[in-house]
Amino acid sequence: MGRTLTFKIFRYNPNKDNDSPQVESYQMEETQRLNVFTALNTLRETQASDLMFDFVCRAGICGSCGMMINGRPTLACRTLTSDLPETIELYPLPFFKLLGDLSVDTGIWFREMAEKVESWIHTQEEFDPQATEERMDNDIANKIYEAERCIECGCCLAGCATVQVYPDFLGAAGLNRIGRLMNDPRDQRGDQEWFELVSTESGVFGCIGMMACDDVCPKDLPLLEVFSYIRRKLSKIELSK
Amino acid sequence: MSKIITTDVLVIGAGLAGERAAIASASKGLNVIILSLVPPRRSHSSAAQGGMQASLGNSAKGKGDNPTIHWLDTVKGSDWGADQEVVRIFADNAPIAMREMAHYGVPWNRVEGGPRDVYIKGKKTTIVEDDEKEGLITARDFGGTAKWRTCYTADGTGHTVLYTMDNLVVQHGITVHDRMEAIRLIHHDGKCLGAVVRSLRDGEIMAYMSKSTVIATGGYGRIYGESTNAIINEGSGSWLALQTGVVPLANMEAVQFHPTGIVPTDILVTEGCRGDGGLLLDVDEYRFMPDYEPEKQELASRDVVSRRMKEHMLKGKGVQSPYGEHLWLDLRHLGEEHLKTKLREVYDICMHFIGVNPIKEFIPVRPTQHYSMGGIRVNKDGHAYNMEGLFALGEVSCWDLHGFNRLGGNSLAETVVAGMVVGEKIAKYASKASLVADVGLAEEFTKTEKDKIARLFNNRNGENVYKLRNEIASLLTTHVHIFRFGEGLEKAVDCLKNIVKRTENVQVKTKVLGMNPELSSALRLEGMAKQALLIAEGALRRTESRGAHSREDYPDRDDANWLSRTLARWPDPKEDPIFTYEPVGVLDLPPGDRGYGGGQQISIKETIEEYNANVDIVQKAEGRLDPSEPTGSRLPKERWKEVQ
Amino acid sequence: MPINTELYPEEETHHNQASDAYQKAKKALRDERISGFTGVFLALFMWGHMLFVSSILTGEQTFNFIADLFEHTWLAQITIILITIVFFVHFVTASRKIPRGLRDRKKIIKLGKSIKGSKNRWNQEITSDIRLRNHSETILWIWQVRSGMAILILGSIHLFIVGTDILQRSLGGAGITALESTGRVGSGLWLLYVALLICVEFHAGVGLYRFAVKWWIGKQLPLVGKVTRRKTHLVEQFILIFFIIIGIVTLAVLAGLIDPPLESLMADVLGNSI
Repeated sequence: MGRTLTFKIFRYNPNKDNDSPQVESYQMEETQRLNVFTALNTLRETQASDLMFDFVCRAGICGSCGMMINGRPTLACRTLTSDLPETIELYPLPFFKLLGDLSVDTGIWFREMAEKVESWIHTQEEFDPQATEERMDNDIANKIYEAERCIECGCCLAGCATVQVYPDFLGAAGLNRIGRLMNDPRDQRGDQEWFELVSTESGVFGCIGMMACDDVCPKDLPLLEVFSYIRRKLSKIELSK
Repeated sequence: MSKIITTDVLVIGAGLAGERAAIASASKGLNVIILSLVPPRRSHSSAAQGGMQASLGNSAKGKGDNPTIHWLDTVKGSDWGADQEVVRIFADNAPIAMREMAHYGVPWNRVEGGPRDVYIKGKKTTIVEDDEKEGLITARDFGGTAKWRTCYTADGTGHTVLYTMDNLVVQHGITVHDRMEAIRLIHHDGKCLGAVVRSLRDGEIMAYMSKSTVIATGGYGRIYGESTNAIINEGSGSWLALQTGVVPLANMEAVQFHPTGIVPTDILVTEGCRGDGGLLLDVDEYRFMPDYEPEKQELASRDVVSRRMKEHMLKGKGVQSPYGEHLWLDLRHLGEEHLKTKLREVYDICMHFIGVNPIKEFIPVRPTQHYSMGGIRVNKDGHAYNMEGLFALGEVSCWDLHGFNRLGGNSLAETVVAGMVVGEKIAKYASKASLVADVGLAEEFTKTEKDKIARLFNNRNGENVYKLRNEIASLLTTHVHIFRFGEGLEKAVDCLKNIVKRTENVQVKTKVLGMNPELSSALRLEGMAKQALLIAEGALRRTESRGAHSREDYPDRDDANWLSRTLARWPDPKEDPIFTYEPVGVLDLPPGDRGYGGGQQISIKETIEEYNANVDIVQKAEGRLDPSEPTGSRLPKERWKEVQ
Repeated sequence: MPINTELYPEEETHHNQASDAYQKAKKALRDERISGFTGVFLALFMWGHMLFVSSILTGEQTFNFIADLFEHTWLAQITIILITIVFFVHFVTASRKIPRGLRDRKKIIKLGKSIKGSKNRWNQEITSDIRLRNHSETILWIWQVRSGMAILILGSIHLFIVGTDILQRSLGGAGITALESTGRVGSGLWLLYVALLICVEFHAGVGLYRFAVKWWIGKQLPLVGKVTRRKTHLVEQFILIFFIIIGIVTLAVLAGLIDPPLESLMADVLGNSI
């Protein structure tokens, strides 16, 4: 307690004429139980009224506030200043399009990803409002949920060196989504469809295995397990043909 | 000349309600554009953890459940403030909506046959699940219900349902324009023709023209500053309606609070903490609840506990902190194992977001705004009063499913059920309506908004946006919270009237048209101030206690005078708002004992029949558009007698 | 909510094995498999190779005996041809992932350094996975590329030298002997061998770790239980250190810096058995 924090924040507004990227410093007294969400809002209200950043739920569930905090991609709302040194460097997530300061456009990327992997349940059956729901094993429901917990914050992509170099790569978030759908008995896509979708250089074989996604994921998703499951499954599919 | 974009249906807000309604229209082959402040999956719907109520009756503790029991729970819970017919529509359709979401991919938790141990009110109990129900959607317990009927997916119900819904949006190829804020409705002669929209990416102002316009922007919790709502829930949707001058906002004073939000981030910690033996302490680390409620102590109901906490803080016993006053929640005696298993969620939240270890330390808590029952008044088809072609659904609307108190799990279910039911009506309306792409009108409306922005830039020595916003929040938190009494409310109304005037003189220092957070806040400020005033004045006028609205100076529920819904309009922006009242709707279950809270109940003056006869006439006079089916047609008479 | 099926033309919903997409997918899987399995094969070979070379630790006799055995049975000749082929196949398939541009490679290095501190905080259970240490795998990959390039050059030289040796034996020459090896290492080529040793063991170790993570993580295996990053990483570290120590000692013997430490042991064994 009682520290004076120095925030070094990346500032750039592409909509402002003649603006160029720079790092600005702000000082602030550290208060009890301070996290980066509260700190940034205080800074905006008192020192930098035009500071751009994104928060929505501020409870670690919406995935808006991914940023590089002292070099690592993570959620600002659940980063406590007491875990950080006195100097805190804030940069926007790399890879995504910069909208201004700490705000990046993750929405477009994730929408395109959803379109690419056709991220919905593929079924021929029509919904019958009168019928009882189809039964499902609770274990399967839990297993689907385990992967469904991804909040699309983009930290895995920001930490992934592969995706910086090969932007077509679906990244951990994309592969995790595919893994979630592959596990879902309601999705009627067959082996061949999965094979064509994910056995590609932009799919699971684009992954070099640098494992940063697993180290930065704020939701602790078992990402590597999902990928190895997909790899083995693809191998099986190919061998059975 | 501003850009004009045309579409059949314009949906403002991409949470569960908005997206479900958009899908309903898109599957009818209509063109739909969704506008959203944030990428759709970031919407606040995702943050709802608990679940959705639907009377599927699959779990052992929900056996024998049916829509009628659900209806009864909800009407009682609303303290008879809800429209009973709407509740019926909701309760009947909720199971269908759950099954539909299951069909499209939500991994609902399922029944596992056989015995299992659960904790009911802190006591370990064994329940035996029916083997025949194995694999069907199960349910958990939630406050205020006779049966267990809250469908859930572990601790992320809102998240999974929203993701499934958004996948459907992608599947239907529905256009989503994210980081777009509607700032004004375009309307003419009581007909809504679209909206003026500001891009939060580059600040461009444009006009969207549509056959039907749908507002689904969620609640206005952030006007309170301290709120469990997402920070984007600043009431910008209800402000759109209020701005028209003719569309009323209903029951704005009906605001729900939660006793234990952590400080400073106001994230909820579950009420289970108190159920399991958590203690509330004040600044002297003294346990104060037994003094107020000797019997139930910390286990008293949510609103009683919240009220006592607030009362105790007003006595100067709160703990001062840089983020405002709070109290302590002590869980240390529950032990490490208990906290790391049964209350794992609480443990995680405290450790992650405020760095407090509940095994060793007190948790700072305060009562926090949680849900807004009020909103844009619509008829049972979701059609706004006095404005053809304008629809509203979800938390932003006052469909009136919740009356004066919402039951946990009903609001999340409302989003998909209303999306389904109202969505159909929207599609039907849009299929018949013709597009009025009045370029002149669009230009006129966009110009007003552009002028407004120019004025905000040009104001000299004006008010600071953030300071004014905090003033509004602090007025509401002090005087229009759980603990309300006439004097405080009067003060709040006076101050807020003054603040409304001051909002005209706001000065934006950052003169960039692009993504400018200061400008965005400044544009929302007038709406926040005016809605704050409606909340305060509505609360002042309503001299009774009903549901979440509890007046210390009027502790009784007064059905003789107040079995009514508040309607507030703001016809002239320079003058004061106008308050009127209408009957809550056709009554089937006669007003009775709500089974919670204190105070007496003053009986209704007329007979139920007389009351019901009046409903249609008064509501119509207030500007209600005719629904597709006559009033009361969906409310079967006295079915509730079968289950009582 | 029925979906308009016009959006999904038949070409896309009917899949067959002749389709472009399928062939492409098959190729991707094949490339990944080849690069992975050649890597594993080479790593296993290198360990066997190391063990055979380290027979010098027990004295020249054993070394010569083993060398002679392999050459006599033509195993050595076959192996070297096979290894040379696998070596280059591995190079071609594994290097497909290396970014061509210098700028891209710099990006990876920068990011790798930036996220070094990505370990989890308070909620880390002792039994949980690897996050307690800093994130290193991104930088490790860069070093894998670098060491791979070094191996490509140094390994080629070594293959050429040894290849000539073995070829000589086939043509009636002396082949690989302790005397010659010692001479070679002692003559200054030790520098090459130390570099090669470290590069190979590092490259193989990290490569195998990555391979295991890619294909087996989360799988339940007998004896070890669920495969986790922590376990695979520990195994990798152990093997890496083990072989580097053996390698250094072996090189030291070959360079004549120390006497074979296990010679007396071997003499005992041989003496007893005779």
